[in-house]
Amino acid sequence: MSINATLLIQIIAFVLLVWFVNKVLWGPLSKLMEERQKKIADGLSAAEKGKHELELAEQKAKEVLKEAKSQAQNILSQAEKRSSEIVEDAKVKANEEADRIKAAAQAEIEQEVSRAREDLRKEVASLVVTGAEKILQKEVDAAAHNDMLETLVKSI
Amino acid sequence: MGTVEYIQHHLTNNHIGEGFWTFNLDTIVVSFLLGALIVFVSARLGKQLETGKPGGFQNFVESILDFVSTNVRDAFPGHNPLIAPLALTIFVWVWLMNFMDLIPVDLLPYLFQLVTGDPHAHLKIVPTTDLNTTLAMAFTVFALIIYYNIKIKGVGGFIKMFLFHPFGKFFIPVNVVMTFIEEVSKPLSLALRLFGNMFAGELVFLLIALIGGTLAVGAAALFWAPLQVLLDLGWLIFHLLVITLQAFIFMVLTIVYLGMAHDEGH
Amino acid sequence: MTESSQEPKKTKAGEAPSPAVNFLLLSAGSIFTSMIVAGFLVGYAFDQLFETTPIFLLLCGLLGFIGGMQKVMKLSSRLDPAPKAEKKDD
Repeated sequence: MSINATLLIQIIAFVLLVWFVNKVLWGPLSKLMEERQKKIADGLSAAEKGKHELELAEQKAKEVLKEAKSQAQNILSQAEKRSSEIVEDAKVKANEEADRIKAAAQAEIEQEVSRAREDLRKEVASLVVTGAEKILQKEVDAAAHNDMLETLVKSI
Repeated sequence: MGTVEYIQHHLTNNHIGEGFWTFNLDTIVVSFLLGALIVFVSARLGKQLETGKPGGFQNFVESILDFVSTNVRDAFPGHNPLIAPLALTIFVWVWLMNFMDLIPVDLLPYLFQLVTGDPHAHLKIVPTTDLNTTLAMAFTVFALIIYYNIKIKGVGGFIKMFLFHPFGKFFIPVNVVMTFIEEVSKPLSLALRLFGNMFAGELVFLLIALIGGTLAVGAAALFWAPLQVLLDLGWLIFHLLVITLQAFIFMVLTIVYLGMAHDEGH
Repeated sequence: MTESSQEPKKTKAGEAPSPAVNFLLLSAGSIFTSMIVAGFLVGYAFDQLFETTPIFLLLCGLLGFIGGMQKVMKLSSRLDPAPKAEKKDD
């Protein structure tokens, strides 16, 4: 176990071995592992990014949907409002028409009544005249007694 | 063959040369083979990487790599592309060399003796029980520590660290001794701890093997042989933990020491 | 390993120390022991040099002990900032 020239040979062997391992094994393998690690990290970050984007898209879709919904609601309520307006309008118009028709009818009736009354009055006047002629047995000068007759007719 | 001779025989390297210029052939060959295994596996994996289809083995290697780089990130303050592969190499190589300890102590030496035809051929197959291996790695790391100390703090900063750390400017001689001790302790804690643990582990394996080898004679074998198996299994399981821990501590200490060298506010 | 990986480190240290930190504390024991041993070794070397056994041996062993304590405390405080923050609250 004495120290001898084996020492020198072992030093050379050791240095060569370290050099070789560094060159052939450690260099390529650690590079490979580093690359793989980087790849994995890249993949993970890409997945994370994709997830984030998906979330964003989902959010956006939700927003769009919400907006569309509110718009539809808006339109619906507007339509409702419009329809009720139309109905109200129609109602008003119908009422007016009815009133108008009623008024016309009333006027006609009144006219008819007054005409009938006139006719009646004329009839009555002629009747009265005839009656009076009969009673007086003489012709009454219609023209002469016209004024009297007129007042008579009016008083009926 | 006596007990002491058996142990000594097992703890002697197969070497050539004299004095300092001795080469422990078994240490060199085994560690080179294990290094070649790493090289081979890395090269194959590197080729597999180009096809881009991750297999089960790649996942296994990636988990080790991840483990190492987590440790580096936790203990290393700065950024240095060399630290992580260095730590990985140390961890894997030391673990593999330690793992040689778990191969039955007599198996490979026996086969070796059969192949060479020499009944006394030495073979010590655990490179980390050879102080040369652990010191080689410790010195390399130590050289890196000094290099980065000077590179990060500059020569002036390095000398200042010796003079004023850790007690301020009024204790300069004490500081010098203290920092010197600290620097000496770095390769020491790397090399000697690993060497001591593995050497002791190997020794215990040898002693357990001796139970069967020397005591199990005749009828006594009925008692000693199962005991040896039991002890061997227990120590094997425990040692599996130890070799992993030792390899791990070697790695972490390397990271921590180099981290200290990078620490500006030292 | 790069600047991008620096950031999780800070939060990790602030919230809960990872299991690796416990292993680091384990290595702190190793540092402590080796500091003492190195102290004795350096002291022994000085003693051999100046022939003053065992003055430097003991002195440097003590220094190694103190330095080891200091190193361990520094390491543990650097690795786990949570107790420091508690101290500030006190």
